[in-house]
Amino acid sequence: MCARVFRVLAATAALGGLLAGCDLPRDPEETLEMVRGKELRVGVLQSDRNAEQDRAVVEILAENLQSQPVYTEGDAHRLFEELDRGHIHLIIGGVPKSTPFKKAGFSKAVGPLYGSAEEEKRVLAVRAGENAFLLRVNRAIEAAKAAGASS
Amino acid sequence: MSETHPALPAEIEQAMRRAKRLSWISIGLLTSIIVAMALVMGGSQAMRTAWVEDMLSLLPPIAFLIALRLEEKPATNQFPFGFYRANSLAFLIAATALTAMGALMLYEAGATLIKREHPTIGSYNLFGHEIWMGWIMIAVLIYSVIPPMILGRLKKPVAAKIADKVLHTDALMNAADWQTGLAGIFGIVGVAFGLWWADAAAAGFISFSILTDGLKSMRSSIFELIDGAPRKIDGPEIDPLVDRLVERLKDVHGDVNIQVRETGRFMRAVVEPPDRPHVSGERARSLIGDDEAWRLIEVALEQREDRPERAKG
Repeated sequence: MCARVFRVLAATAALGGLLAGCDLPRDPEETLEMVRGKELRVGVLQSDRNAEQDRAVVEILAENLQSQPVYTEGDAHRLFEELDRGHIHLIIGGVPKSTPFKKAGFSKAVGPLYGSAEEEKRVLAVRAGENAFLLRVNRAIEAAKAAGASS
Repeated sequence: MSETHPALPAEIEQAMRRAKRLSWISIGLLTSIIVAMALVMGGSQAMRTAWVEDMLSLLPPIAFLIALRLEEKPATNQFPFGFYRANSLAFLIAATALTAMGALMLYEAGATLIKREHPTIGSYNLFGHEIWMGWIMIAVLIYSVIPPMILGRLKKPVAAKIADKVLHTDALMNAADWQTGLAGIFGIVGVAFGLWWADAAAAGFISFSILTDGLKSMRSSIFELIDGAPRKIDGPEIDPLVDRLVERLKDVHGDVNIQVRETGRFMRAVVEPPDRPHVSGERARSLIGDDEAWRLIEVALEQREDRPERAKG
């Protein structure tokens, strides 16, 4: 019995390894495919110190995807609505980690949230469930951090 | 007090020790799984549900161990019948935990599908590589699947041997655990392929069988608590032993009424006259006075035939 169980699990693990090698994860709404080689539409909450540092991540991301960043500024409600509809791909400029806007996906922490009364981390927002695109955003954040540390 | 714990056959005692050992192992492994999940899952709602489910699956083995310890205590003045019923109560707790788990899963899955929530799964930096958290979750889920798969299969025959419905429910909970884990793996693979609904659909599918098992167990445990006839270990049907017992007792005593119930793993039979089930009003009044005589409905004379250590022979 146990041998059979382990064979099944080993097969599952092998399958998992195989899948990890493929071009996975993919986006349900294909954000990554839409952005690659085309426009990367970025919503900016506020042009301040937060946005300034987030831009460094956007530049790296755009370069990696050979796309052209296009920035639009707007208030949070409008930007998150546009993000959910897929009109923009990314929100930057001081999204707190504990944001009340839950209908989105969030990147790893980019840095501290400047101008906040409490100690808070700053993240970037992508359309909910766009896991492939989010993975590229997170890689860009890591790259930006590495670049920041070396300079 | 007269109700001492019955001595059990050596093989049953041995099976009980095995059951105890399996429950402790369950608690240890489940705790390690709960810690591992807590480390990986972060803010993900789906994973928090899986985590709550794992916490719920701690309840049956804990209830089992507490009930077993209580059951071994001799009767006292405060508890003249001993503590056999602790097992019945633990059965209800375990069954409720299983039902709650099924209901929680079904609700979560349904809500996700109706709200069309796309699960977002982030990434984790491992040795300088940004790795999709989904792959790490699958690794943890594979780990979380193995122990319950083995433990559940080991527990079932032991539960049948010692007639323990708490342990049986615990085994069902283990089955629910590994099925949920496997569904989670398929779900995350689905999400990797861009099928946002895969996770919820897999969980919803599994939740039906968990809910059915839970409700079935709850029904049985309630029957037991309201002195229903003894039920089979795996369903609400009456245990065939009851029919055999009733038949034999009627052979011996003629036209009598036989009441059989179970207190935890033990069965008790009462032989009573078919037409006079109650104590007479006159006798009741003489025993506890006029005003409250109505409350005394039974005075039984037990025939204690054997010493508790009989079973060892």
